[in-house]
Amino acid sequence: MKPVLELNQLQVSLHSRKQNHELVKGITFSVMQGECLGILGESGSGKSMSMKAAMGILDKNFLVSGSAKFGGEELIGKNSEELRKLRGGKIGMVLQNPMTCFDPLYRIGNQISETFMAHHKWSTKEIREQSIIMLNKMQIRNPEEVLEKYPHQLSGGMLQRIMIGIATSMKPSLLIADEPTTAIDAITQFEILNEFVNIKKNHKVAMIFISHDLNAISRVADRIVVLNEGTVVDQGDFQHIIHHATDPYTRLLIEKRTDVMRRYKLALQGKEYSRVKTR
Amino acid sequence: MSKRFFQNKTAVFTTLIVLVVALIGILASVIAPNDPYETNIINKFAGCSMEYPLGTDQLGRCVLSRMIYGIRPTLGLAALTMVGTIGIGAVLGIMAGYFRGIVEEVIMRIVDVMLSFPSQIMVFAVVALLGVSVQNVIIANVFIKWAWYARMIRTGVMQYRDKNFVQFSRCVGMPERFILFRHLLPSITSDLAVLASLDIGWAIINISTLSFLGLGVQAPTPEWGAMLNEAKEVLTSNPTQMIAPGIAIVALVCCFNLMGDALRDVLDPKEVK
Repeated sequence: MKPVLELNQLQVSLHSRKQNHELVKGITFSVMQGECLGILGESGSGKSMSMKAAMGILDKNFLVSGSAKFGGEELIGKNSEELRKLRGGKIGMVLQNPMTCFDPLYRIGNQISETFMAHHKWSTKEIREQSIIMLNKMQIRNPEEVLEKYPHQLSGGMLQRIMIGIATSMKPSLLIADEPTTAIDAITQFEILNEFVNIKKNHKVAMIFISHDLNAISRVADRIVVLNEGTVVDQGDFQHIIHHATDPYTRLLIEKRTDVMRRYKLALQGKEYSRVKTR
Repeated sequence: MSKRFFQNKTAVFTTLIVLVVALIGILASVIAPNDPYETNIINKFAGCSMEYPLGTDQLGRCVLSRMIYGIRPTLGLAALTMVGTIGIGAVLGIMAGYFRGIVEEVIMRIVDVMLSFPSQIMVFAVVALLGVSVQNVIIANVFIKWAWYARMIRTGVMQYRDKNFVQFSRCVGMPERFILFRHLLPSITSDLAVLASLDIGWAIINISTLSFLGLGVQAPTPEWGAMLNEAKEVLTSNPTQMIAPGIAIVALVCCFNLMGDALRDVLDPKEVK
């Protein structure tokens, strides 16, 4: 089977007057259809940067080299008009921090129709019908009412679900989720992650799930790539990453995480926690 | 939006005054009691009367009629100047803020050069260079003031261009043109409206200043600044002639400045309830 997205030695550097600052130093991975690839790494490790580079939404100040193939088509160096048509259509994106991803000046309905208008020649009535179908699919109550609301009147979880809805309603063959759960509370996080698992099951899309949260990534990702300072330091499935990681950075990440989990579990059991503490 | 506008008393009040003044100016020929150009040297420096509500000037012309006719050049030229400065400033500011790189460098260096000259002296220089006429006054005002607005608008655009909703719009594949008009322009409209109303106040003062110095609107055309110039000779003997246009300028400029303040409150998208 051919991979949906294939990155090969992708490099990004920030070009400034004095020096070239390398941000992503050649990363290579691929995603198959129906697979979810998790990209794990701390802030500034080049997770989002590499995806943005492949999608062509970086500034002119950034130099991108290497290759990124989407369904066999080379993306790097493609003209911006063609890339624009791919984005939102064949490639869906969900960004972090849903509260700021919607323009505060427009009603939700207008924002949804923005995407629909970019990729279909639908009438306003069709757009409205499709928006309501989409909102229903994302299990949002009173969709008619929600369409008339401004972004700040809805909760972060709701907005994120709407955004996922917009991304999936275009029937993309690749869905990129850039830290979709970072700015959201635990309960909504759980719902959002479930949404992603459903999408994976039902839509047969290739998915790239970018996160620094080992917990979230373990729920949805089939395979995990660990990035550190712009290079791939480890890849494999979750079990592999947890138990057989060779890279010291990955091990550190997992150690810290499990440490937090252990304390959390102890705290849940209450009594034992205090005993452990006094000992 | 309109609801919040009507709730804001200052906004309603000042806009109303400006509209009424503009209307009086437009209907000057109907409202004015006398012909503003008709001289009557025997009746000069007359006091208030039924025929001449604000008296007459040194040539026996009706001051009130001249005030009413004076709205046309005063407000009209100021509005024209405002449209010119904000227009050029907005186009260049948006270009500099949005496209960055070499475009920004070139535009902003020109702006820096423009800002390094004191504005009043530049106006005189331009008027002296092009000759004294109404048209040149406007050109001079636009020429020296656009840089201020280009810089302010650029800052506004830069504030929004990296906002997540612009990124998101880019992610869903909207063309740059669309993002510019649909997301960036509306975001800075409130700034623009405030700048525009403050700018028009500044333009009124500047045009009146030039007319006062005899570099702008020429006699016998009635203009508030030019009327002040004519009245300065008789400041002590016939103060009404000076006070009327003086107060009118102060009141109108205050009105525009207050309107700018009130509009900022009304247009602030963060306060949408």
